[in-house]
Amino acid sequence: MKRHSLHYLLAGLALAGCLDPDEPGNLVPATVDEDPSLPRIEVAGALFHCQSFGAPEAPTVMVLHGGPGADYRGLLPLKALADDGYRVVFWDQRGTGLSQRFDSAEYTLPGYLEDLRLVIEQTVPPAQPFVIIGHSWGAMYATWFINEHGDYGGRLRGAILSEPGAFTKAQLDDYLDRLMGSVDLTGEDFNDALWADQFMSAGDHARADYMSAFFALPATPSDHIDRANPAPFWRVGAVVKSKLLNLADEQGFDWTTNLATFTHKVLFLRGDLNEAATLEHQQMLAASYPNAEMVTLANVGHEMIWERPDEYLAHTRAYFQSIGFVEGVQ
Amino acid sequence: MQRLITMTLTMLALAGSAQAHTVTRTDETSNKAYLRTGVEPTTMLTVGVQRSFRLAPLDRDIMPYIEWGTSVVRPGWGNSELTVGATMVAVEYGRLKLVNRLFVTAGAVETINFDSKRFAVGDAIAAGFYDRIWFVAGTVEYEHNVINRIDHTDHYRTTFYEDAEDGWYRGAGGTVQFGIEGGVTLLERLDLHLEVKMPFTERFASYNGSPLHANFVTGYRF
Repeated sequence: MKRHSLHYLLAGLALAGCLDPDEPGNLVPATVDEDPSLPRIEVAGALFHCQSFGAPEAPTVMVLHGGPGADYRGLLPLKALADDGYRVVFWDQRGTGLSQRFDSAEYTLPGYLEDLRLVIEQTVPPAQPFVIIGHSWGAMYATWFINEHGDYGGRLRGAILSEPGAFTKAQLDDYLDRLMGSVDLTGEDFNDALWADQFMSAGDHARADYMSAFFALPATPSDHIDRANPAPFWRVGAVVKSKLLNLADEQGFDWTTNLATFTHKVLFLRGDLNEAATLEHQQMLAASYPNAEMVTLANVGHEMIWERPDEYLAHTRAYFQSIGFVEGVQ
Repeated sequence: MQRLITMTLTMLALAGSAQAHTVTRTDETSNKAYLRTGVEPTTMLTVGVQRSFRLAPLDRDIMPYIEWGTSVVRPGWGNSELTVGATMVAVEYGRLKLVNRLFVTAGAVETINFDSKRFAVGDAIAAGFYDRIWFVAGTVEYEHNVINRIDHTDHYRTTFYEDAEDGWYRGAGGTVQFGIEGGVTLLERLDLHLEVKMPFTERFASYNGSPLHANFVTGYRF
């Protein structure tokens, strides 16, 4: 009996010495509420991971990352705009990247939209003009904001939208069909992701985020991501990704109803390799704006900002010039 | 030793099975080799053998089994798992039976983000109607990862998190599956068995991976 007790004790000690997958910092990085050294802002009681580059008085470029559920790490090449005299603001949206996590029930569509407005209020000085650069979901988020708030009292001078997926529920269904239709169900990436789920279940925030990382990169071949130079992420927000997609599916959306009133020039900047956000698809979305221009980068896919930063920045600077959004503008 | 064996067998008797096809006609044939293929959760190919014998102290048939499965996409030891378990009828009223299966699993997976080895325990209960040459049952299965070894790849460190901890992890969660299964025996020796299961996390949240698991089993009795 004593020998059995000793065995149980040893087994217990062995397990006690193991790492906890849910402990912050073990599998995925600690978030702003877990690591006080991270740059942050507090908005509506939530902590967002946020960084800005450039002089506070400079015209602001508000960068919106993709997903939903991704983060801004792969968009950091845009901070080079600070050297041109702009102030560039990056933030991880609610529940994503290094921002604070929330349980599924705490996400709502109106709340998510209000987050963006409050971040603008907090990071862009009053009366200061700003432009939004939105990538993928971030371009949808920007359009949602514009449809709701127009040019925000004349402060929003324009937007660069890079491969938004959809502005309406019907468009989203169509886009997701193309995106998910490209997944190779017998491919290595997809099957690795599925089987690994058996090794680590998504029963906790950290584990769910960790396992969602499988679907951040190669799982959708239509995006044509450069495997030799993949765009980095900090953490995929599994819960917010799932919840926003569910909310959009359940409640539907149409973010085109007021776009006709937004007369500022909008640049659609896309990569020609993307087979889900095709030229025709982007043209169809651009048609919702009265003043849109389409520019296509050659030989690059969805992660054009990471993979072709110089080209992307060159088009961005030219666009800023074309709309008169230059240093010192008032 | 005898005490340990008795304890194990008693647990099996009290505990249930997706291998429920094994409980039909056990009095006529004692061995079976089988091949299982399907999505579970990845596309898998599994081979196994089982043997039935009468456990006199409990007056029941018990069917220990051993099986090895590997990923169809990336076959090999690095993407495989070995399962050892046993199936037993816990309760029966005529042809209505409650069948229990208890099992332990050792598995390995190599992915773009991490390599892992896991040791898990699981139990499955099947309740259904078992005729001589066919059956249909509803199933509940729970599998818990007791301990995992995780080693992150360079890709994960570069692309996501440089300081990710390699090592042994405890409590990596588990999977609960609800499903239905059914089978038929043809030509006296050929078993065909289909199972469909819906997986959830331990907290009954929707699963992060495949929404449905489905397997087709072909067995030969001898």
